[in-house]
Amino acid sequence: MALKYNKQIIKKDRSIQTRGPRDHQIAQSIDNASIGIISELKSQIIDLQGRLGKANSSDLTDEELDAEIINAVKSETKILNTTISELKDKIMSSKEMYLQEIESLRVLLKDKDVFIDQLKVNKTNKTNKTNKTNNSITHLVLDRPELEEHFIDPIEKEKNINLESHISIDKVQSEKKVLDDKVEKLKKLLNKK
Amino acid sequence: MPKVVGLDIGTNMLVVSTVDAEGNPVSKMQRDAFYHIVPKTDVNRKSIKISLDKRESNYIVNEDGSYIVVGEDALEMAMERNDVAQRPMLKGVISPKEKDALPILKLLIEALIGKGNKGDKCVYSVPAPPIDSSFDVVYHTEIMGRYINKMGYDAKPINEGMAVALSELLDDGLNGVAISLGAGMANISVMHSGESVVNFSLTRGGDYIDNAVGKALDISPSLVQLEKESGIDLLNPTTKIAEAISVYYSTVINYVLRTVVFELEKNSKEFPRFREAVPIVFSGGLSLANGFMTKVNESISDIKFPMKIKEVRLASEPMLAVSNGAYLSGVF
Repeated sequence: MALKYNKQIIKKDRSIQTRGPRDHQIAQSIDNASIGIISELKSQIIDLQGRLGKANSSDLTDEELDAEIINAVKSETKILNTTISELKDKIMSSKEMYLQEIESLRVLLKDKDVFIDQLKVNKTNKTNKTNKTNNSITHLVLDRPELEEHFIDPIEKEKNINLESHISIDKVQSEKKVLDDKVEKLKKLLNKK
Repeated sequence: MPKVVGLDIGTNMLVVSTVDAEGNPVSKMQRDAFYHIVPKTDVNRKSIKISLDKRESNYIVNEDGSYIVVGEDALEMAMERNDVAQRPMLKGVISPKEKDALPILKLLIEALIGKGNKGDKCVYSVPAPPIDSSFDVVYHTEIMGRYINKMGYDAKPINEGMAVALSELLDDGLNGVAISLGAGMANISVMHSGESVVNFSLTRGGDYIDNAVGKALDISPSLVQLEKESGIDLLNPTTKIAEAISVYYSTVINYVLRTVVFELEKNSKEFPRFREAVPIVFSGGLSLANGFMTKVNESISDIKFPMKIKEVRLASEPMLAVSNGAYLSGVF
């Protein structure tokens, strides 16, 4: 059983706070702990300073300190700029890649439209053909054989006709700039597409 | 360097656009007509030859010794003899009635474009499929391509309306309506951002006017043609023929414009929307008449187009628009 100490003594004109031996003991252990923490932190600071190879800031003059800060800011800014430009390059290249993908998709879509149109034409042709034969629309047969087209030149057999030409046609020269302008404009439009 | 030639094979006129060795643009034209003169005697043969040489006419000597006058003189000589000149083409394609004239057409084309060398390219105009007639243009396209190939060129066909667009709609981003009004046909191409969305032809043109006026006034269509091409003023016609020509001009212009609207509305589901107002450009021999654009503007005021029209204008060189466009397509 612990002894009880009177920790508050009240006098005529004042009240006095006192501590018992346990209180003294606790206070002493706290003091020792803070001293330990402080000394530990001190040693860590010294260690970090050593590792950074920097002198204690308190050893530097004001100008040296400013220069140190400026240098540190500059090097950090440089690193940041490099990172930003690298990111920009990455974004640009991926943008380029996406644009190319979009372009190829556009071409595919166009091809698809052409294909659909062809199918529509085929379908109409087949339907018309079927209509002509049956008077009603029946199933479409897309692989039905097509009639081959032949173009006979009506004068092919008479190619040895001896004709003596006395034809001379005058040429008219136009302004070069007008044609060059048209070629340039068409070139731009074609590149745009 | 390989040569590029743009060739407009018209019913009434053959036109070529190309560049010379220095890169200067040059063009050549030849009327697509011929007239056969058969001499009765040897003396007659010699006198005809002297006469033709004196007139500086273009002609072909047939193997039987007869003469085939070609071009402008064919028309004039036919008129002098109260006769009609023949044409190897009808309504924009090889005339089935004039198959014997094909060698003449070949010679005319060869005189215009010359012989080609390896790598030379010739882009030739062909009409779009007609919507008011039942003939097809595939045979004409194939045979013409074959002839031009034989002349040493790599022959490529181009739609006539599309050729006009390439020549005249460049400032509009290849957006608008390009119309070529020739002797045999009207070729129409509606362009949207460089793509031809509607393409068709109508078998009404200068020949229709000549025949209609000829019938109405009981005169030769060749006479009407000469009157028409002698610088007619459609707004102030001074003769009966000119008056009739002016009336039939309005008929053709109205017919072409109303058909354009009809075709656009018919295909409205597939038809892309124009974001901005677009121009209508006219080219071809019919558009050369004085007062033509006033007539067009009069007609257009009564017609509602399915898109906004920015302006109605004449091609910078109405007779060269097709061949220039064909040349441009051959450059790329």
